[in-house]
Amino acid sequence: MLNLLSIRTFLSAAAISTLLGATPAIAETYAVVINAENTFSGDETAMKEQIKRLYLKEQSSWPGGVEAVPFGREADSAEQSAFVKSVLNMSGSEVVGHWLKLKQVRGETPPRGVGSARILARQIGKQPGAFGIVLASEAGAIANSKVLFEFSSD
Amino acid sequence: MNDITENKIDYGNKSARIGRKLFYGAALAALLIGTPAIAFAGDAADEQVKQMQLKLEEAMAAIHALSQTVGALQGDLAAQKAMAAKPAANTDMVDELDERVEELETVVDNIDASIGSRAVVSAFDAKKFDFGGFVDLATTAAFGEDGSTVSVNRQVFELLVKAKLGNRWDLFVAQAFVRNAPLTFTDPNSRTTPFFRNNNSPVVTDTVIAWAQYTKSDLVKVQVGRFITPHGITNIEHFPASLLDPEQPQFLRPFPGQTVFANFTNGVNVNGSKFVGRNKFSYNAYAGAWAGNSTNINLGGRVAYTFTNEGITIGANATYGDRSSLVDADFAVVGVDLLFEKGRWIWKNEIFITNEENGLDRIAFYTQPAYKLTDKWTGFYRFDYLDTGLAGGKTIENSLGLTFKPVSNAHLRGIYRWRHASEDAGIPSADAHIFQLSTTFNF
Repeated sequence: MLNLLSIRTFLSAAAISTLLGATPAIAETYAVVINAENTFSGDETAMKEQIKRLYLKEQSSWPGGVEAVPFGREADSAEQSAFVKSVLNMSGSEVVGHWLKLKQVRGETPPRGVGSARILARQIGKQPGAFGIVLASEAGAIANSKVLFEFSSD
Repeated sequence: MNDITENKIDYGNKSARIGRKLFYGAALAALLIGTPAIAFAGDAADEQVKQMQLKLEEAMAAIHALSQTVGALQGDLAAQKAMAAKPAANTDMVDELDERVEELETVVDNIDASIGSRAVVSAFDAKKFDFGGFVDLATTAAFGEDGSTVSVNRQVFELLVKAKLGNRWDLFVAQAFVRNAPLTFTDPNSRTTPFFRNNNSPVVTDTVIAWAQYTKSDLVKVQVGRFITPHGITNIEHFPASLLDPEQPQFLRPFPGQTVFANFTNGVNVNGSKFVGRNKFSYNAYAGAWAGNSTNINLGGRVAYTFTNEGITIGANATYGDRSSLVDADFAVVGVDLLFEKGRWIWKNEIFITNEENGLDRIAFYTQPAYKLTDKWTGFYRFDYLDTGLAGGKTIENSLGLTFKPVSNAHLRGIYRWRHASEDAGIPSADAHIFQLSTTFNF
């Protein structure tokens, strides 16, 4: 009887510790925000793919024909790191290699990396083809804009 | 803050006192109203009722007055609360303004750190102006059958300039300044010479690229000027900063040559791309002349299709023209390139075959698998075969290299190359072992 209790206690403790151990760290949520006039929509995969092409300058216009104005965030910011990992699905060195190639073959430069979320919000609100990355909690306060999709830093 | 708290306490006490008075008044009124009438006979009783009515009226008047006082005090209290709340809203606004000012100061600081008191460069008429370049250096040691030699053999400085002329017009120029110190061997047939015949002149100033482009859409772009002949993989990538091996495959040497096709063309190149679902279609179609062969217009193009999920790009290439302004030397080239780029692998393959009116046909092939060991380290191998159609022109190179990018602006490489020339047309076979250290810095 004692052994049975001990086993049950041990299993419960193991289960709890496993559960606690498996609990992931809370990931920050970010949003890709576009101008309110932008009518582009689609499923999440299609939207991510579109943003990736526009950000990497493989495509210069939104499907509706509006010229894309991509904005990044500062290179070492949490927003940019999450975007590179979760939306571009690339490593930092792959992104650097991509821009090196485009710089030398076509003279292209990476999108401007904006440090201030407020300055970014102003740009997105002003230009129909603009998009950028902000914290999901900041997205609601951006005038004349809407959230295209949200993603986490995982 | 303390005043506000004391006011609150004061108002709390007042409210308590007023409430107590109200309660007593109400109790008295209820008592008076609720007291059963006692019947008294005669005038005495009437007088008593009148007095009680008077008292009741007085009590009601007192209650009414108290109610008005309480109402007024409640109004004052609400006003005081609103007044107390207002500073908080003001504080929030001030905080937000402080934050914005701080952000602006950071931005101004960053701009000041970049520019300071120096002059800001602006283009005369361009809407946007980007300026960059690179320096490419190489030191080579070659051990051949006739001897060995070492040289700091290549210094290339190249400037890249991109100007946006309008919404749809761009200008791109790459100007190279090259200083060579070629390795010299004494082999009379040049067979054991491991030198890459890359700009034999000690000093070269070459306008590598100079085109203007009109962009109608992603699908239709028109380049006019001098451009990289759009064939294969390596020639299009072209620049040493991007390449794992700055010595391009044999068929692209010498640098501005035309061993199989011309590395550069002066003319018109219509190009574009379109996404088809997740995949990408791209094309180039060009017409132009080469330096040193200006009287002949050569036509060519490339179509490519990228399977995004698989990381595979297949390209088909063709060109037709005349190699010489002096003699009839019509030629045609067909070629296929295959790129696999997924995960840590980058695998480039190209094959080109020519048909020559003047001379023997030429064949070029290479395969170059590369593996990213880490974000900074990459290892690669290249098997490279070329038959130039000339006597003694069959050569094979096996290259093994390790490249390192300590920072994104620097590319260091160490490469071993075994070059073997086959016995041909009475010329004996020959080998050379070549070690090269090279580095490219770009900005």
